[in-house]
Formats: sequence, structure tokens, C-alpha cells
Amino acid sequence: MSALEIMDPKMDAGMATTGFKTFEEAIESGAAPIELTIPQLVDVFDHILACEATWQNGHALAQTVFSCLYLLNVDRTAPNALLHAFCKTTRASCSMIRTAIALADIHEEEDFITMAYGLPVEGEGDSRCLALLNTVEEVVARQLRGCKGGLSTKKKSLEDAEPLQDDPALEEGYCHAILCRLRFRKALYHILTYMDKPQGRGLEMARKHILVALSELQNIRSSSAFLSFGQAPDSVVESKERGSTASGRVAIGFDECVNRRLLAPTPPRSISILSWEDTLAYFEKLLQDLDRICSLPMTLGLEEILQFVMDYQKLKPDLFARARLQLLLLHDGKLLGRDPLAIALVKVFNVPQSVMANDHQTQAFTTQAARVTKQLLKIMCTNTAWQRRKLGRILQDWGNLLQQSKVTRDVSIEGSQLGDEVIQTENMLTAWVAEQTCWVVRQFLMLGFQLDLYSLSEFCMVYWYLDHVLLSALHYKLAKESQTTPAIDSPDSVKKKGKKKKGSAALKQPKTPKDGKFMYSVHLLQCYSDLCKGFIWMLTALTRDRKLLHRETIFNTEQERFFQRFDLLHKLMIPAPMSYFHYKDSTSQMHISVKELYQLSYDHFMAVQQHLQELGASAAKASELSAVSRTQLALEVKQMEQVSLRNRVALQIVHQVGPGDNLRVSFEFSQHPCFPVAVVKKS
Amino acid sequence: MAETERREADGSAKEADIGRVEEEDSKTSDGAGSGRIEYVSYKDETQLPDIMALIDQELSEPYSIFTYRYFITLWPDLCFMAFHEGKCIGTLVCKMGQHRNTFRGYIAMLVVVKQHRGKGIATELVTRCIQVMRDAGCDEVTLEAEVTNLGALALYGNLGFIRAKRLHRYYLNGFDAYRLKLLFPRPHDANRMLLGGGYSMDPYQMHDCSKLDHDHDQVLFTKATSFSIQVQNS
Repeated sequence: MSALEIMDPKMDAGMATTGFKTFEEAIESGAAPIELTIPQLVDVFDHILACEATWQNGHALAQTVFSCLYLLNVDRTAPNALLHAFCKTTRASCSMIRTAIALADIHEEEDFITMAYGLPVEGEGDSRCLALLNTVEEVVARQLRGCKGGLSTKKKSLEDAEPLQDDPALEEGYCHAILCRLRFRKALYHILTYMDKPQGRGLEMARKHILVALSELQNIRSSSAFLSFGQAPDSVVESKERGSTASGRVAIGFDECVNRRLLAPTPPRSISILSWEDTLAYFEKLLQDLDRICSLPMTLGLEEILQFVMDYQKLKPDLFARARLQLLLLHDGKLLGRDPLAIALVKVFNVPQSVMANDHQTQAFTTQAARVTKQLLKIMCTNTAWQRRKLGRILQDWGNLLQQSKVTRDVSIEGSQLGDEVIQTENMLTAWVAEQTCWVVRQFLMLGFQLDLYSLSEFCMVYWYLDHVLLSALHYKLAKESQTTPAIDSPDSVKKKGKKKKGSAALKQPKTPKDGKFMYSVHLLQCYSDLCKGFIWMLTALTRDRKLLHRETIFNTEQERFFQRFDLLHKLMIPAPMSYFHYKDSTSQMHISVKELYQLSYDHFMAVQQHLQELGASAAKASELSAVSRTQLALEVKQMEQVSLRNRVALQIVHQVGPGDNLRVSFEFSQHPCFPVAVVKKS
Repeated sequence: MAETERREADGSAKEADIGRVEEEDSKTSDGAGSGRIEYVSYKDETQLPDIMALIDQELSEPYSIFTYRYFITLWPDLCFMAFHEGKCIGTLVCKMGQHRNTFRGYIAMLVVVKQHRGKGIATELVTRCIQVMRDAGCDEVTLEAEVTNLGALALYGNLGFIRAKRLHRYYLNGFDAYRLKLLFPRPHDANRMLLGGGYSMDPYQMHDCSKLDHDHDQVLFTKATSFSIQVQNS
């Protein structure tokens, strides 16, 4: 597939004959003059920012940031103090961003190429860029004060700075424009350096600079009107397409093709640099996403951290933000850069000290669990598409961990006090692995909705399986909460007990937990479970009622698709594998009428309402929740309310209208990313 | 559109992509009342220029003749063309082979000229090809499609493909792609369909969830039907 035809310009990079062939050629032709007017300089600054945003979105350095001829040789810009300071700081910032992303190592599927291909990403003395920036900022600030004061009097003292440009009427506007860009650049640099400090030591300072950066971004935004004044307004062209600078003019000193030789042999695509509007929006979002990371309390335990990452991802942060988060969470291989994961896990396991110190197998298990958990945390920082695939792949590791937690202990210690503690420990460890595995599987299944992987005909089976996973998760969570050791029976012993198990199942009903901690997560699972059941019965009923049609497919059946979706999960013992036949059996319910099924679905959606109130109450008491998680939870409660309400309305309609295909029902994810709303139309 | 160059740059996926097909639900293959569509399987190199011209014209990706030869010479049975009044108006290029432990078919390029879209021609081409793949012993068929290519997604969805994975920013225009997969039924492997994980349970046992930690039956009817559906407006 990589075959090329030489001399076909579509395939042969060397055939592109237009434009400068080398950087030197471009410079000699005057493509990047050092002497720039202030309006031109502002355009250069703007376009550089746009290039940076484009680069971070996954495009080649060579075609974005380093399409700037000034950045290709920063030393050359020394005579122009403003340009020089800005370029040096830009380069230093890009270098830090690139390093952070490379270290986090989650960029594989983002198209982010960390290799520099010989581009001058590092520069001598870049660490002194702040000093340069401060100097020029001071000069411009003085000039601004001067021209503000100078309106009333024409007197100029000898110490006054040179005006930036010729037109005194525009001087103030240009001073403002330059100043806010310099300050933004500086704030951004500070944010990068402070966030780089390990163990979150710099987060508070970083937050301060984020505020500054956001404020300067606002100033930059408001300067657009001034800068674009005089440009012929084009009512046809939307502001988004107007270009990558505030003024709308094309910036001097950029050439996309000059680095052609540094790219892959196949012809580089012409990429489009982000528009000015999109650039501003990108940085605004990035700053907000970074701020959320900075607000992460460094005292969070492992479970709260996992919850935080899951909630943080719902805001769709971009690559650099996620890289920064991952570096914070796992700096030096330790949780938040402090405790080795094994230590953090020991706290979570709550294992008796005597066992931890003496039982070799518990220690081995903890080491293994630490490895697997670290991997999980890293995966949780990748983009959701890749995340789902990786979660699927690590299920094997969690399955192995479960096995490891059940390794039979040394017979000699049985009966002793240590022996009892060891057995209790084993149960706690097994319960922990079981709960975590359910968490991973649940995330795996629910991400499928967010990624729009499931088609309507698959919803029922997915909700059915998801419900099963949620019920398993609930069991282990409640067992932990009530501080009783759950009776972890192996599947073999369950089979042996056979029908007797049915009676003892009642024992496993939720007990009232003593500790209020994490109750919100229990209520959340109950909400999800009821929603799933609501959908299972609604979908089943609608299908039987012919208000929802599933086409026959000629090459395979639902059974194959069930296998494709869930085969991966069948390798696990917990949650227990569920077969297609079980699915069909559970959902056929031919002895129940369609109307009764609608009623059943309605009841489940109604139950959600009740659980949501409990959820709200327990969330309010959950002091351990981070701000991000709290906000997300509040939002999700509202979303689930809407889902519950609207589906009940839809059920009333279909119930009322009578049997048959008199109505068509479709589903839209307008409220909650994983739970849709039924939309009813006349057929 | 197919975006192989960037993928090739880091030595990963070597396959091309299907072209955009604005396909409605399968309609009759009647060419707008002006002649029937004729479907042929690839025979010899004299047909190659037609195929190349069509794909070059409709897709943005430049392919060299070597690329075409790779697919069509090795898998001529998987190359189909649709003719209308003597002119080639649609074509499909595929391959198949061992991929890890499955024998897998892959749909590389699918094109139907704009004027003839919406008539089920693409569906017909794909259907014929999949039949060949199935009869040749393929376990599954796969391809990538851009997330915004609703026509293609509908076409393949109707044939039983699922959206197995999402590929982040697969295309250089920034769009994601889905990896679509069709799994053929395996009659000789019926037991595998029941359960994995070493459980040997009777498939017709009512609740073979191992009841390790919860009981489905119990939760099914616990909700008292005290919230009856308000049929009247309330």
C-alpha cells in the first residue's frame, strides 16, 4: 500500500516545485524580515498561537509551529526585542509541552509525534526567556502609561520610551494588544513550569497564573475589534474562516513547505491552521482543564482518584491536559508522587498488619495489584476510544489477579490466629479485585455508548449485560461498606450447592452500611441498574409490539453479535460470564403481556427517581469527593432525572395508543451519554 | 476518504479506505429506469484501467498501479464491478488472509459514481463479495469507515456488521473512524456460543448466572406495581 509512483506529484514529495526549498532560501528572499511594524508583529504573535494550538491538536511540528521562519532561527530575531522574547518563550513552552506529553506516554493514538526530526525545539538560554519577556513587557507598559498620560499634554520627557508605531491615535490600542499577548505568553510559561513540579507543589501557583492567563485571553479577545478595524468586512465569510489572526490579515514570516524534507517521504498533507476563534477557544478550554487538575486535592485516596479521572474525562480534555494529569497522578511511579502504589493499596485493602508483614503471598499479591492498578490509572488518562480498547486488553490481568488472590495458603498457619486473619485477608483482597474488575467492565461497556459503538438493535443486550455487571459491583461494594466479609464462593461450590443456593441468596441482600462513606457510589449503581432494567423491558416490549423494528441480517444473527460484544468478558470469573441463551431466556418473558412489560419498565424508571433523591442526599454528605466529581455528579443526577421522566412519558404514550406498529420509536442520547430518551412519532 | 499516507508514515495500517457511498436502504438495482445494472467479477487486466479510473476519480487518495495490482492480482475473486450501459459505474476491491488466529476478509475500496448512488448498487457489490469470502472460509470481514459516513455505516449495519472499535482521529481531516466487523456463524462451534470461561452449563438452564453475588430473579419483580401508568393526563 505504500507503493509510490515517482514523479507523480500526488505521491512524490520531490515533485512539488513551488515555494522555497530551504529555510535559507526563504530568508534570503526576504520572507521573514526582522523589521516589522507593530500590526505585523501582532499578526505574527497571533499566528504562532494558532500554530501551537494546531500542533497540540495532532499536527506535525514542522507544518505548524515550525512553519514560522522566525522560530527556525530564533537568534536571528535578536535585534527585534519583542519578537525575540516572544519567540524564545514560545520555543521554551513548546519544548516543555512536548516533553510532558512524551513522558506521559499516552499519545500513541493521538497523532502526536514527539520526535523533532531535527527541528530546533530546544534553544540555548531558553530558560532566560522570562527575563527577556519581563524587560519588553516593562517597556511596553511604560509606553502605555506614557501615551495615556500624553493625550492631555504633548510634553515628552527623555525617559519616555519610543512609540511602538507611527499613528499616535492608535498607540494605546496597539500597546494594549501587545501587552496582553506578552502577559498571556508569560502566564502560560509560568503555568507550565509550576505544573511540572512534582507532588503538586506548584499547583497553587499554577492556578494563580491560570487566572491571569484567562484574564489576558479575554483582553486578547477584546483587542480583535481594534486590530481588525479597517479590514474590509466580508459578510459572506464567517468569522471562523477569517484567518488565524485577530486582524484577519495573513501573517508574515510563515511557510508551510519549507520543512518538507523533514517529513515522511509521502507527500505531506496541506493542513489548515486553526482559525483565530478556534485558537482562542482551544486555549480557553485548555486553561480550564488545567485548572481542574490544579484543584485536585493532594490528599485523595486511590478510589477517589479513580473517580476523579473518570469524571474528568467526561469533560473531554485534550491531550496535553490529560498528559499533565497522568504525570501528576503517577509521578515517579508513585500515587500523586508520594506513596508507592503498593503502600496506597495496603491502606485501601485495610489488611491486618500482622498478615502484611508475615504473609509472603499477600505481599506478592499487593505488588501485582499495584502494577495492574498503575496500568489502569495510566489507561484512564488516554482518549476514550483508545481507553476502551486498552481496558478490554487489561481484563486478562484483572482476571489473573483474582486468581492470585485466592491462592491457597500455607496449611501450617491454619487454625492459628494468623491463619484466621489470613483467611479474612484473602476474602478482603478477593472482594477488592472483584469490585475493581466490575468497575473496569462497567467502564468498558458504558464507554461503548459514549463512543457510539452500539446500534439500536444491540441496546437491549448491552443494558442486560451491563445490569448484570452493576449488580455484581453492588454486591461487592455493599459487602465492603457493611464491613462484613462477603462469602466468596468459587463457582464450583456454587454448582455443588445447586438449588440450595436459591434460598441463601436472600442473605446477600443489601445490608445497611455502618459507614456513610461511598454511599453515593452505591446509590449511583442502583440508579444505573434501574435505568438498565427500564430499558431492557421497554426495548423488549416495543419490539414485541412492533413499534421498534429489527431487521434480519443475511450474513449472521444476533447470536454472533452477542458473541462479538461479550466474548472478551467471558474470560473473567467475576463478573460471571453470561450466555446468549440466558439473555434470550431472561428477556423473552412470553408469559408477560406487552402492557405489563411497559408497566414494568415504567416502574423501574420510577424507581430511578427515588434512588436519585438518595443519591443527591448521600453525595452532599460525601466530603471526600473532589470538586470535579461533585460537579459531574450533580450534572448526571439532572440528566438521569430527565431520562427517567421523558421515558416514562414515552411509555405512557405507547401504552395508551394500543398494540401494533401505529407508532415509531427511536432513541436519542440528548440528556445522558449512556442512557437515551425514547422519541415517539407517528409511523 | 482514504488516508493511508499518514498511517503509512508510522508503518501501521496498510489498508486503504472505502470511498463515500451515499447509500439509502437497499432499493432495487434498476438504474433509474434507464437500463439494468450488470455485476461482474474481475476477469483480466483489461478491466484494470476502468477500475483505476473510477477509483481515482471518486476517491481523494492517490493509489499507484502497484496497489491495485496487489489487491486485484492476489484476490481477483474479491474484485467486483457494476456496469451500466457498458460503462463501469461501481467497483469493489478486497482481500483476505490470516490475521493472528482468524481468517479474515478486508474491504479496501468501494466506489459508486455519484449519479448512481442510492440505488443499492454498493450493497449488491458488497453482498456478492462477502458471499465469496464466506464460502472461501473467512471467519469474519472487517473494514474502516469514517464516523460521518452515515451511508456506509447504514449499508454495513444492515448486513450485520457491528462497530467494534472507534479509532481516534484516524483520518487526517481529524475525523474518527469505526472498525466494522462482521462475524460469520460457526455451526461447528456451537458450544463456544454458550459460555466462555470453562463453564459447562446446560444452555437451557434458566438462570446460569452463577449466583455468585446476586440474583436476577429476585430483582425482577420486587418493584410493587404501585406506580401504575397514568393513562389519563395527570
